[in-house]
Parts: sequence; structure tokens; C-alpha cells
Amino acid sequence: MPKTLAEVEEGRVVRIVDVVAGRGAAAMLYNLGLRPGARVEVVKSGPGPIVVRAEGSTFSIGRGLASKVIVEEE
Amino acid sequence: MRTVALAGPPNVGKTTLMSRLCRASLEVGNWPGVTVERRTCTYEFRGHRYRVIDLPGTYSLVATSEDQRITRDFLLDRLDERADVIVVVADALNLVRGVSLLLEIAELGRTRLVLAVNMMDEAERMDLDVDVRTLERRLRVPVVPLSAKRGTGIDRLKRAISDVVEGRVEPRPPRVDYPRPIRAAVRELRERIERELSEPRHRAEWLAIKLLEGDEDLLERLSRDLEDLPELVERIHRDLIETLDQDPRAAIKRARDELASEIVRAAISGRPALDRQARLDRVLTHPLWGGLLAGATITAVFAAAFYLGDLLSEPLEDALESLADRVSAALPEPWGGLLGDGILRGVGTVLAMYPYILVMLLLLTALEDSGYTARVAALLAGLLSRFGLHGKSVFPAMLSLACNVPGITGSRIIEDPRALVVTVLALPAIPCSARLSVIAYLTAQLPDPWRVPAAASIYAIAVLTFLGTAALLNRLLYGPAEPGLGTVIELPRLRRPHPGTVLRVAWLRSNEFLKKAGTVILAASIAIWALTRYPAPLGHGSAAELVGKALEPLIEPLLGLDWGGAVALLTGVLAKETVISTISTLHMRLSPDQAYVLALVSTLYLPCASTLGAIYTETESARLTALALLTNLAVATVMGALAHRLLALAGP
Ligand SMILES: Nc1nc2c(ncn2[C@@H]2O[C@H](COP(=O)(O)OP(=O)(O)OP(=O)(O)O)[C@@H](O)[C@H]2O)c(=O)[nH]1
Ligand SMILES: [Mg+2]
Repeated sequence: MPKTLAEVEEGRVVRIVDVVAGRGAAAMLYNLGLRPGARVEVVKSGPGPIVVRAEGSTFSIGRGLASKVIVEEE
Repeated sequence: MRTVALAGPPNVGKTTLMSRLCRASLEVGNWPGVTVERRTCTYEFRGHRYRVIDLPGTYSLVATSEDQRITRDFLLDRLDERADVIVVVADALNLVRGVSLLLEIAELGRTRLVLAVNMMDEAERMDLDVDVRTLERRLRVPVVPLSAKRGTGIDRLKRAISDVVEGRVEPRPPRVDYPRPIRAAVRELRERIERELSEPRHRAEWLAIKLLEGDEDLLERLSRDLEDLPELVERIHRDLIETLDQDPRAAIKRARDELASEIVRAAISGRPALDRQARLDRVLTHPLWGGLLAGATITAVFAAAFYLGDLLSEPLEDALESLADRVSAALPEPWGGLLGDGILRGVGTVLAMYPYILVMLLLLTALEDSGYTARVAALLAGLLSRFGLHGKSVFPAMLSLACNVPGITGSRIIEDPRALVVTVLALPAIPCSARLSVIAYLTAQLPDPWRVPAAASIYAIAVLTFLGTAALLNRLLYGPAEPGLGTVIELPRLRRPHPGTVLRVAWLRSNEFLKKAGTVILAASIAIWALTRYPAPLGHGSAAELVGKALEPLIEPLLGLDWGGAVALLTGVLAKETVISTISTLHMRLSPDQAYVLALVSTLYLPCASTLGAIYTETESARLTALALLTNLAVATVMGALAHRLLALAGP
């Protein structure tokens, strides 16, 4: 069942299905490798920003934006 | 001379590697037309001279920021120079990114490549094994493992470079295999470009790929000569979305990344032990624990700057003082006065700030290098983006606590152009160490229990002003900000800061301040000296007094300050710390209320001359610089007037 990146439990690995954010934010996530198809590991969920790991890099993403990233659990 | 370009993702050690390759002879300049630093240096190897160019870090050749545009244009030979070899620097712990970039550069037809796998020291520490042979076999380019930090593998890299230049080794990197519909689309676009723009085939192909990847800058440039290109790209794009059932940009990048990660997977074994990092990140980005820690860290930076800065600054100040005395006694008037009292004392006041600035910059740069500042940025990103700022605005804002000038220059790391402009224009509200000294000096005149709270309240007001100004400017210039943009922060690995890097960067940053001391502030000191001396000495009708008295009817009812306050503020435009010397030269007596209002207003009003200069350099716009000036002035006046009223209401 799809959920948003903001709702994933810590330690889970998920796959990005869709990014429903604005143009700028979507492009930026895209450039960093956070795009549909990418596998990301959620290092930290709340409170505060979400921290994820993808392709060996670590990113923090604001909760608002994270809830616009649709993911599915593997 | 042979030219070697260093390319690679941000923060993988290109600049560190460069200083290893050349040891000395580093030259820092700017890329043509933009204010991104351009570093080159030269070294000699087996009787040949090599020139090394450090390209700005980039994840891909689709340009999304000024820095990335430079790297791309350089690789496209648009910048009048051409590299004989391109060394792609990759992080051993994150090889996929580097390899993917290498494949992308190879697509451009630039196959004289070397892959430098940096940070091998860290990989070893984490038991991560990189099999160089496998990488070489699959990538068919020379691969050199090294540690720029330790200086290992440097000679091997030089040998690999010369092998490629001299043709002893001929790299033949693999081509990415794109899905069939994409190949067809690329062919269609390529043929148009080849035919009508007479580009060579491989370049036309590359341009076609980049257009499908959504490079708007390229599209705009190419459509100048090929008017229907946007429509054509648009149509192909739409068709592709239908046949592929996904965005072609994603499909292209994915194909490249998949090849890269397949190659890398075959070559590495062992898994980096990142879990300690993950645990740390959980704490550092936690609103409560992370927030407390950030507060404590900043307080510690201030305390250290005060303590160490005092130690260094006092002897410096004394030396300059006695030099000024001796000079003004030794030379006939007005030269003795001009040189001793005007120039030496004026520049001296500013130079005495240098130790504080240097200590703060050293500590802040060390925090940045360790990766900690990125965590603070992550923590504050949500809040900042609500005001039209970017999480990364934290980096320049922290530097601005030492000096606004390197802060403004340091804003370049913000990718979003809107947030960049807003940050640059709002930054002057952050009190630098010069203003810290004014605040400390003036609040010292308050009765005892009020000193520290008064100083703290000025900092709090300044931070609120920073946020408020940013929100206001964002509204004025651009309208509502896109939510969430600016809340994505890459968190580099936490590590012990590297002393060499920290020293070098802090030195470069503090130099920006010294340079201004030698130019703007020199001129300012002469002007102030003349204004406070002619036509009659200060206190007896000098020009500064006359202007101050002319302003008194304005400033008295508004802020409760007399002509002396006006003069202090006027001289402070040139450099904020001169507010102090003006007050003492004028023997001003200030009531506690006046001291507080003056401290607040001199913190917030016009940015000093050096800062204005930096804003202009960075925005390249007189309009925006004027806007920064006016908003600051307006906000300071309003805040000062408010403080004056409230204090008057609160009684004596
Ligand atoms: N452990 C380790 N750290 C390194 C090595 N090389 C560089 N670093 C560190 O990595 C950080 C980034 O190095 P830079 O040389 O500034 O990286 P860069 O690629 O020039 O970065 P950009 O110019 O921002 O793209 C610094 O803190 C260096 O000290 C290395 O071989 N090992
Ligand atoms: Mg660099």
C-alpha cells in the first residue's frame, strides 16, 4: 500500500513511486537521485526533518516535502 | 602546457587533491562573467608542465546552478580552453555518483578520462574494499585509488594522467544502453541539430540527450537558432511519456545510474559502517536535542571568540595605538594628524577586530568541515523556508556572525536563485563581530542586571529582523515561495575537521575582510578624519557636527538621540566599529535608554560599506543593492523608534 515518505518507520527501505511536489522541489529531489524508482532507507522519521539514505548519500527532507513523496514498502 | 581538469560531485576532495598535485602555485580567480572562484595551479611531471583546473562540483551535467553551468560549459569547450585530460574525482564511499558522472562526460565524446577514487583512508577505516582492477576492466579508463587528505596515490595519478595524454593508454569508456524509444528520440533530435546547427555528430547526440533530460538553459540557447526546437522537444517528450510510461528524464538518468551501480557493485565489498552516523543524525536533527546542542555550540563559538580574540586583540591594539601616537607626533600638521589620527587609528580600530573575526571564522569553518553545520541547516530548514529562505541559508548566516562579507560571498552554495537573492539581501541584519563590539560597549553603560539581557535582546531582534526582512523581500520580489523547496539538505559524513582545509578556507574568508580594511575602510578613515576636523575641530563646528545637528530635529523625536548619536551613526556607515570611537571622541554622555536605542539602531541600520560592496558584487544589481539598503534603513528606524517609545513608556 502506498504511503508518503513522512509516514515510513525508521529503518525501513522503500521505493519512491511518485513525487507530487512543485516543479522546483521535484527537480531538486530528482537531481539528488531522489526520483521515482530510487530505493531509500529511512534513517530517521519524526520529530523534525526526515533523514533518508539513498545511493550512499544522506539527505534531510522537511516533513512537508516528505509528505509529497509517495513511496511503497519493499 | 598540458591541461588537466578536475571534475566530480561536490565535496569529494577535488580542491584538496589539487593542492596535493601542485603543492604551491595555486591561483585563485573568477570564471568569466560570474563570481564563482576559478582555481588553477601547475606542476611538473617527467619534463612536462601540467596546468590543473578545479571545476565546481556537480552531480550531473544538467545545469541547475551557476557552478554547474560552468562545469558543463567548460566540458563543452564553451570557455575558450580545453582539457587534455579530465580527472573525475569520486568518493570511495559513494562511487556510484562519480562513475555515473564519468559515464555522462564520456557521452559527450570526452573519453580522455581518469577516475580518481578519493577518500581511500576513510574506506579503509570502514573496511570497505575497492577492487581497482575490476573497475578498470569494466570502465576501460585508468582508475587510481588515493587519499587527497593523506597524500597517498598522488604520483600514481600523475602517471595515469601522463599515460593518457601521451596516448600510451587509450580509454574507451562504455556507452549507456538507453531504452529503444529513447534511442529513437535521441536520433530524431540529433539529426535536426546536426543538420541545422552544424554540430559534430557526438556533440549533437549529447545535446539531444541533454534536451530530453530537460536542460532548459541549453534549450533556450539552441532555440535562438532553431526556433521550433521547444515545440519539437515538447512533442517528443510527450510521446515518450506515453510509450515509456515514465518521465524520459528519469529513464535516462536511471539507465546511466543503473550501469554505474552495476559496475560499482562488482567492484566493492564490505558495507560501510554508517550506523553510528545514523544514530548521531537522529540526535542532531531532533528538534529538542539537536536544537539545544546547536544553541550550546553557537554560545561556545562566541565564548571562544571573546576569550581568544581578546588575548590576540589587546596587544595588537596597543601596538597600533602607540604607532599612531608616534607618527602623529613625528610629522608636521596636518600630515601627522591625517596619518596618525586619521588613517592609523581608523584602520587600526578595524584591524583590532581581525583576531575576533579570524577566531570565529576558524571555528565556524571547522564546524562546516566536520559536517555539523549541515545538521543545523537541516534542523532549521523548515522554519527558514517559510520565510523565503533556504535551509542552506544557515551557512552564510553563521559566517555572518563573524563578518557579513564572507557570509554574503558564502551564500553561493544556495542552489535556488530566489532564496539566494533573498538571503544576500537580508543577511546584513545579522550582527557581525564589529557590531558585537558596539553592542557590548553600549550595553556596558546600562545598570548592572540589564547588561546581558539587553545585549541578548538585540541579537534576538536582529534574528527576527533577518527573518522578517527575508519574508518581506521575498514577497516584494517574487510572491509566495514554493513550499518545501529549500528543505532538502545533503548531510555529508560527520568527521573530524581537517586542519589544513580549515586553516586555508578560514584564511581566504578572513582575507575578504582584510582586503576591505585596506580599501573601503582606509578611504572611510580619511573621510571621517576630515569631516571631524574641518572647518573646525570636533566640538567647535566640524562638518560632521553640522550634519549631525541638521539631522537632530529628525532623530531626536524619533529615536531620542541627539546630534552626537546622528554623527555616530553616520560614521558607522563606513565601518560599524567606528561608532565606538566616535562616541568616545565626542565624549558623549548617554542615558541607559539612549545607549540601548543606539546599540539597536547601529546594529540594524545601513549595512557597512564593505557589506554593501559585497552585496553589489554578488547580485550584480544596483537596484537590489539599493533595495537592501532601504529595507535595512526602514526596518532599523521603525525598530529604533519602537524601542524608544516602549522604553519611555516603561519609565526611567
Ligand atoms: N578522509 C578524507 N577526507 C578528505 C579527503 N580528501 C578531501 N577530504 C575532505 O573532504 C572535504 C571536501 O574537500 P574539498 O577538497 O573541499 O572538496 P571539493 O570536491 O573541492 O568540494 P567542492 O568544491 O564543494 O565541490 C574536506 O573536508 C576535505 O578535508 C580524503 O582523501 N580523505
Ligand atoms: Mg572545491
